[in-house]
Amino acid sequence: MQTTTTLTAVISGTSVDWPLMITLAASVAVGLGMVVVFGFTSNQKAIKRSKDQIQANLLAVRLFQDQLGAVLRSYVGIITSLGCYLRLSFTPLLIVILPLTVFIIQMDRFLGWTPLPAGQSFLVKARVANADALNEITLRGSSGEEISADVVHMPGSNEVIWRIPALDSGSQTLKVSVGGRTVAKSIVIGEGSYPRRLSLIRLQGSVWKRLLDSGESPIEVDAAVQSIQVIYPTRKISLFGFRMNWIVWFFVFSMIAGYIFKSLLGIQI
Amino acid sequence: MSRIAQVPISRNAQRLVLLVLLTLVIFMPAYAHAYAGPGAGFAVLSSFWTLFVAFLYSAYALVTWPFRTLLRMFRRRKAFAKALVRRAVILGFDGMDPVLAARYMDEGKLPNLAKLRASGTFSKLRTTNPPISPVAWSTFMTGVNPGKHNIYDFLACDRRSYLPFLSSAEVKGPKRRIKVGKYSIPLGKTEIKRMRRGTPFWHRLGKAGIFSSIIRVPVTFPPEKFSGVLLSGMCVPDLKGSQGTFCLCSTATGGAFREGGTRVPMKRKGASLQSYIPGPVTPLAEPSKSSAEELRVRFEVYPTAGLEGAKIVVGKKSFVVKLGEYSEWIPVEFKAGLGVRAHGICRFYLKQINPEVEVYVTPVNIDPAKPDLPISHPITYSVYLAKMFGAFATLGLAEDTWALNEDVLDDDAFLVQCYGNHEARERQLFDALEKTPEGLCTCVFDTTDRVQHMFWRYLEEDHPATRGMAQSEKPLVIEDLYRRVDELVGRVMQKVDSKTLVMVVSDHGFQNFARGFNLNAWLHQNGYLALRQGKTESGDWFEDVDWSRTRAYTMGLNGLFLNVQGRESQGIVAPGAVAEALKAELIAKLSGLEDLAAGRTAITGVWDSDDAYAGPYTGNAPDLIIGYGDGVRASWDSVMGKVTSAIFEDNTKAWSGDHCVDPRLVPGVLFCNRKIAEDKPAIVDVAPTMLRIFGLEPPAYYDGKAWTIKYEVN
Repeated sequence: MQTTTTLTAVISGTSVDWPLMITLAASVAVGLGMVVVFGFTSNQKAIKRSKDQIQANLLAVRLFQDQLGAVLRSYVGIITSLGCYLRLSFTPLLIVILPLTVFIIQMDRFLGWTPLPAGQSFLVKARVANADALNEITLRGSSGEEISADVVHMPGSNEVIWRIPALDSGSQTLKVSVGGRTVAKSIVIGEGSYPRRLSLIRLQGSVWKRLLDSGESPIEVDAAVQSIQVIYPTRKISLFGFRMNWIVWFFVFSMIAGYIFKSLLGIQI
Repeated sequence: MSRIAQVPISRNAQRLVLLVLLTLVIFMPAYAHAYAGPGAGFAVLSSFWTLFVAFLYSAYALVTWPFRTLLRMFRRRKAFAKALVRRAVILGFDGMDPVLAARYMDEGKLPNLAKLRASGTFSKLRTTNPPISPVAWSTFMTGVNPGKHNIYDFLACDRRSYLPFLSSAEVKGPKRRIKVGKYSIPLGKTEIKRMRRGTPFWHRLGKAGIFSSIIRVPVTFPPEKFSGVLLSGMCVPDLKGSQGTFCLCSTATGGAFREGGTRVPMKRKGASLQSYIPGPVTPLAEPSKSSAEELRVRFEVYPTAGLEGAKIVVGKKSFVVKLGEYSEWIPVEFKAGLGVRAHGICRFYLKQINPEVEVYVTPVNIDPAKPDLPISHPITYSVYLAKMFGAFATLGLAEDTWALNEDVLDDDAFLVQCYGNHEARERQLFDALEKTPEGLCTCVFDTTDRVQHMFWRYLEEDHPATRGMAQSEKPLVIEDLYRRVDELVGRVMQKVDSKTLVMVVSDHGFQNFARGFNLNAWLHQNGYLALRQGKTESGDWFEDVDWSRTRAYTMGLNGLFLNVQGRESQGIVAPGAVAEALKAELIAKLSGLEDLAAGRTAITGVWDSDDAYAGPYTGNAPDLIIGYGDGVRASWDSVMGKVTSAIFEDNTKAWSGDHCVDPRLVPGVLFCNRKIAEDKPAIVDVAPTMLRIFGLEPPAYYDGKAWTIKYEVN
């Protein structure tokens, strides 16, 4: 029912559930791509052999159930063949896991979170290098006006948290100043069905950490502010009466797509 | 070049890099990263699924274990209480000949069998009348004469149409159908009717709680339910429903084959050559319609640049075959529409590539991993074997003797095919031995029969098929065969303990087939069979026979039928005294019939089936059974109901040895690792003997008697 409605919406161009559509499209593309890569990078014959051995040993457990020795040997066979199967799947796994991880992180920026709802308050958290700096830290808006907000200082963790209202829709900038140096952090406020790329945090730190968590340039190493984080609401995608994070639907649909493509292309997985 | 650059990256370094990468991926703190796409996802999911299923089954086994153990202990105690052995192994070698075995043992060529002879038993084993495999193996398993198990030949005669049908099983499509557009959709399952009667002795063992593994014993199709596992043997059809139809796909033109094969055109299209494998008739059409479409699987052949082989593409599968070599078993799917498909397997043999391209394709066997017809009990047993050891031939007569007879395959190609099947069977046997530490393990090997049929010509000094060839040039194919059998027996003896009873049996022996005798021609020339006005010969299956004037006819290998009123649709011989008199007359005339041209006695015995058989199915038996003499057999034409001018003819075919003769000339063999105190053991005695050694009393209706076996290990 919902799928039909979604399809109708796509055709008519009205009220399209873009996050769902993007998730579906990404799932199909990844399903196809990963199956093809798996087919090319794995030892297909050996994988088939391992799978056959697993099935044969499972059948043997049933066929020779009264022969204890045979059953035990079959269990050993199942474990050995499973190990072999996983080992054979390991090479393609290594090849696809890095690009796929990067892909999922990027997709998560678009689909994992929604912009800050206008008119509602949200939290901004900043961490500084030294607890003394918490006394002189200030928060300003895009045009430099100081924002008055509820503020909580947490000297133990060198953090300060503001609760501020989201007023005008659109892309905006928050500026955190300490000791005359200012660090900016972008935020997105507003509704809209089309997913926007969101960066949850701006931080100093390693490339890996920024790759995983941030969508913005790094904060200079000598700045007193180490990170500025905005707490965006998480996005849920509704389908078949279930509201789930996009990654759940991505998992389900890419598995289905993968199953279909592996059958169509005759690839052993 | 720097020192670092000169040092190749070691395997350990590669492993370290992989490990670091994996660690990074695993320990990156985001939930989304645990998923690495459908490939790895399937691997992980299916692994967990497998473990889950294994766990579930283990839990089930654990819960039910006490009950099953109690039941088993009770049944086993009952079963094995009087048993003389815990395990018996029967190795069947179809057609193994006692004379040849004795000769090769005496020459020191069969050390393992000679050891059995010295420490246990070696004897001739009296066979059935007629000495034909389906008859003899049916007697082997049921312990009764053909009058009680209803198998008299490969073929039986339909007394209404005078046409043959397979004696062992009948495969019928569902009776009810529904018409949807161009399709006629069958409602219900294919019906397989087992024609063999009687109860195999392993069913009785099963009821007593004794497990059996039965592999490829002939006439076990369709498989029956019992306590054990069984893979059906001889009489399992191919996917077309025949007993084996090969195809020769060729760019050259040629005539049709007499039997057993079809010629399929191969057409050039650009760089490739295109052809197809003929399959079964579509199940989505009325079976009665002669226009019912034959299903086909298309394939393409791409000769390699050097013409030393070719790439063959069948559906999604492509593989390379070298000239003069076979492919592995290739799965093929015949699609009928509406999602209905038949699953088969076949092997491709690249026979010729220049100037013509010729590809031989074996008969399409039922795929053991996806059996469309039951070929094992339980049905998962063939799936288990296929998954464990790979695809294998399931066709009853898996070795393509017709292809060699028709010169489609040469000797070497045929032998490669035979021994390929033989090796697959060996793997199944050793697996069965491992899985059957107690109970019965029986495996029948067909290779002995097929190789002797096809290569006996090299044993004989003056066989018509090798006339002019010096004896020294003839390959020792049969000697090699017996050596392989001996070597296999040796390996089995190593695998079993001294408490296991091991028997080696064959259903019949072998002899020369140099001359063919057309009994229909003899009947015609002696006034018992009449042809239509103006005809001097008849085509296949009595095409030109005038039944209104025919008193006797033959079909199949050893049976002679009277054209009896009320039994045959156009019978003219009155039943009772007239028929009896006619039988007596024919026995008198045929017994001792001479082949003057060859200086042989063509017929050494003729038996009245009323005397030869007893039981509820004697009405289906031929009226007389013909026992051919040394070197003679029913001619190829006679078997197929053809009437020729000549009564005798030379047999120039590769099929040069046979056993469908006087049963006294072709006894089987019996080896045992125990002493058997029996002067004249017979194949009919095997079933009662096996029941007795497992402590069961043979039923009173058995025709065989249990042997006395000395159980002390020598």
